[in-house]
Amino acid sequence: MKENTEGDEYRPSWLLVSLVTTLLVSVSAAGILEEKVIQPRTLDGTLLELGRYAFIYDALEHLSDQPDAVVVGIGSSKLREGFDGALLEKESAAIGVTFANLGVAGDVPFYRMTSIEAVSELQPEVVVLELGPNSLRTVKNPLHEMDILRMNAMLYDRPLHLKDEFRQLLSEEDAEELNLGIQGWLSSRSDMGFEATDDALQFSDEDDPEFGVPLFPWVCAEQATRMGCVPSVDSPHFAEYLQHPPQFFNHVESLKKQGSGALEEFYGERLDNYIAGSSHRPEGVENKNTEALEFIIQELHEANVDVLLLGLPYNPVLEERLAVGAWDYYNETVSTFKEDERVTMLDLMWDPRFDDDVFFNDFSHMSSAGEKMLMEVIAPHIDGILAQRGFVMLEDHRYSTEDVVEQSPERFPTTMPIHGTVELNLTRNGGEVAGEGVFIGSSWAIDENGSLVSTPNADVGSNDLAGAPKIEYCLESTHANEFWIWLQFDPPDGRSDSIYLGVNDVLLDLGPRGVQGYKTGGGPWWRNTGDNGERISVELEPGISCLNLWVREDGVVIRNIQMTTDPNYSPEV
Amino acid sequence: MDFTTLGYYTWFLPAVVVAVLVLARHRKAPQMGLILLASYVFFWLASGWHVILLATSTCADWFIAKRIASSEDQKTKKRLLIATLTLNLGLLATFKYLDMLIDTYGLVQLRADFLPHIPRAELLLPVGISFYTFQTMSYSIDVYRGKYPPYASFVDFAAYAAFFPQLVAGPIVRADHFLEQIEEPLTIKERNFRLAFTFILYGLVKKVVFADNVALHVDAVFTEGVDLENTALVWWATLCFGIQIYCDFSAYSDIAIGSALLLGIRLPENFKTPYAARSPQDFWRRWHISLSTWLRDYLYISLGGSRKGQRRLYIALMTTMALGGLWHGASWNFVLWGVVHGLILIGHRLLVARPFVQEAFERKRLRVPLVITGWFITQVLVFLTWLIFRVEDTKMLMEAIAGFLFLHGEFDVAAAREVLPEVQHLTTALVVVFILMHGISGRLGRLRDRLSEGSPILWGVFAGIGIVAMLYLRPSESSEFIYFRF
Repeated sequence: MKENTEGDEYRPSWLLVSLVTTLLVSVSAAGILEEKVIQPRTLDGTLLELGRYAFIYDALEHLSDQPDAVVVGIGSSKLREGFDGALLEKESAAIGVTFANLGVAGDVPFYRMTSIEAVSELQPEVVVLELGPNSLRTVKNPLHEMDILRMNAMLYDRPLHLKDEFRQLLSEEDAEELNLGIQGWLSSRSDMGFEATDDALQFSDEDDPEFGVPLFPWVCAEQATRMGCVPSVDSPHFAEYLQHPPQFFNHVESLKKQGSGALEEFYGERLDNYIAGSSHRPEGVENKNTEALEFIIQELHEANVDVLLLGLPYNPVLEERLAVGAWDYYNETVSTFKEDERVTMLDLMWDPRFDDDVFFNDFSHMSSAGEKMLMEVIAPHIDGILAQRGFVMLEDHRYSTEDVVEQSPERFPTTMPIHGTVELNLTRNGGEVAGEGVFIGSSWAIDENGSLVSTPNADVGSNDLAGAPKIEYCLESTHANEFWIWLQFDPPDGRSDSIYLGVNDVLLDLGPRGVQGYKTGGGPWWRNTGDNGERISVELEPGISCLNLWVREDGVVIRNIQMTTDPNYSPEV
Repeated sequence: MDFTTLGYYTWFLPAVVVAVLVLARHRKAPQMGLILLASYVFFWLASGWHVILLATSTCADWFIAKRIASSEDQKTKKRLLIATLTLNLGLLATFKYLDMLIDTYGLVQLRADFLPHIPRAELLLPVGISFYTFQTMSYSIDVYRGKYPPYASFVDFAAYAAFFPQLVAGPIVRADHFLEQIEEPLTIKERNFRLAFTFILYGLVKKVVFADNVALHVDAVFTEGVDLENTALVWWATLCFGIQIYCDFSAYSDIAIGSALLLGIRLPENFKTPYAARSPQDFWRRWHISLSTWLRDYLYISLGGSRKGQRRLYIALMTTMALGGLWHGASWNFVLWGVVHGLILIGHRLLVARPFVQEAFERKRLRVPLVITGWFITQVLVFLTWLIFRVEDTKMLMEAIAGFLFLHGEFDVAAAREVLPEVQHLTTALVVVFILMHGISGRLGRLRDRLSEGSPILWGVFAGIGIVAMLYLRPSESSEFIYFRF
């Protein structure tokens, strides 16, 4: 060091120029390193087992830039495999909504709470939040090394302005390990940069044997055909990927082709081990994940974001293999959330519509068929929430689930529209009670024209419900709504034309003679009023309700029943 | 708190600089008071209650040096000097070497079980005790020798003893040097700032990027002690450790010098490209200079040095080197390390005293090859001794030395790579960069001096790249400064 340090007054020019240059160079160099070295290696899974852990904030930023309203799916690989945003967009009646899949394999609420503030900031209309035995799994304290790696990958791009309110749920040890705040931001650069740079220095000219693309600098094909890969944010494939990431291999289908032996082996010890694994073993007590789930729901609720809590089904073979009471904890959690006004709980875990392993790739992840079914099932529920939020729905939209329902009419209710009209399929009743007393021998039946008929027409009538043959049509409504009812009668005469109408076994007050359907000059003709002259309408709560029809006069013929949300609707004659 | 703590740069150092150079501008007494306060805060944050030891050593030497200076009687002076040496060395012996002595006694007791068992004291080693005790001792010795009068101000002296930039890991500063720096009130000087920022940045890059990175490979080999028969692995790990210890220690010195310069105080340099040394003697003129010169001035010369014949010289040299080794830590490894360096120095003296060697150096044609040979042998020996410094387990050390000397006859690069951590390309690149930079520095002189004198744009480019390197190339497991434990 030279000695001449005296008499040198402070002149800011040198320091100022050097400081500005330092800033410019460091920002530019960091930008290049991030873009060319680190980001490709986080998104392609080189530094993690899955690039998707590092894409959350890119995804949120991408979504915030597009003009549509947003519905996002959040959860583990089960949601990632089951939730197809593009399919849901087609299935939904809502106009101007984009559906994005933010599911990440291995994700649990404890991980996800770190990004929920940013999700709230995005202000999606609905968050479809997965709830399953896996999302309630044990998270160790202190966190396991793998948990830390995944969470830090998720935190990598976390904007510094966020408040980190989830810190209250972290133990001291966890807080030390996770890259939080400015110090954490700095640490995360080196966590990733260190290994990414080492990887970049390999200068391999070999091709990836799996994809035939160069190993360096981008391991994945741009279209992200590999599970671990995420296309770059600037890629034209990113939007598509965001809605529908590449799916797992369909083991079930493949094994079926190989013959029954292969499938039996798959459903043998492997399945037992899978069930016994720590990923699906609810412990039955409060743990980090249940606390985090509560935090997420509360955060979203406070941000005025609706939450559809979705219990996803498993392969029925697995469900049958479960020990009695094995997942009671899950069931209890679902019951609790059904009473929780902050969320809409949709539990499909034991739903018989998914009672076929054709809907699954493996023990838990959905196949393309399962994915399609799932989207059809949840679309009306999401639309229900969107309708309540004031979204405009397509007129006369028909949900695919209505067709699906017809495959097993006795078990499944008709899904009611949020906005529009539905025609009840008269052949698809939810139960029938034969007549008693004066009505002994009377019952409801479907004639050769597909009309509902009270037979035999023995000229029996009664003002008393007791003993009247009853038939019911069950309806599933995703939201509270008022429906106006239209009935098309074609009675043989004025003594064979009236019925009593009710909902959930409660008689509607329509006057002493219920609804009368005869008109001089012959039918068929439509009625929308009761004997008291008032319009027939019912208030349906979310869930399943049953419309009851009791015979008042036998021989009545009903050709059609329609229910509409539009009070001004008139059916075609 | 230490120099790898973010808070040191974000609030502590800026606050001290502003307080000393702006708030207490042109007023020396408040400036020194603030430096003293900041130093004790720093030490408290680094070492807690051990601050009492620092205060004890400071007060004792302050009063004793005053008494030595005021006393007319030589015997009294000597008694006072012995008192302060006893106190300071006693602190060192108690807190640093007591358990080592007990362990050694335990080995004896194993063979003579009639001796009583003495349990280890398990005292925590106070941070920086080897540095500040040497500083305060040198002050008392210098006053005793009449080299300079005692400090006039207690605050000035206490600030010297506790000066936070070099308090924990040096460089060891002499009292007269420090006093010279604070004669006038401290002022803002642009050149000081330039140099200071350059020193700090250099230090941080050396520590965070180079030392901590290569340390991963060193630890993988010498902590586990695997495959030490493979010469390729031992060479690589030894090379990495040589780089680690230099970058780690010199980084601390650089940051200390830079921090002090921000306040307008120049500290002595501690390293001068040691791996460019052409002889063992040259190495010690370049490595930990403040300790080498301290040992020379207060131990080697006191033991007679070169003034009392060859035999006395060798005894003095060996004693100095052995104690110098012991200074590094409470382990016989360090003593052995010092002894081996002592033997190398004696061997070198004997060799260069031979007429045929002197004649060879006088021949122009042979000078360059001899210099290169000298450099090569010196560095091989230096790196060999780093094994003694690093590998504490005796059996592992023997294996490592045999591996270093190719006595196992195994040289397998591919097998060596298997043992090392996954991050290898980056470490290799850093080793290559280090060798190039060190070589250029050794050849052309200090790059950082040239840099701080040159264009601000060039400085900015270097600083920008350095900051990004620190941010992105720091391994997630940073280690503390090696010399903290000394």
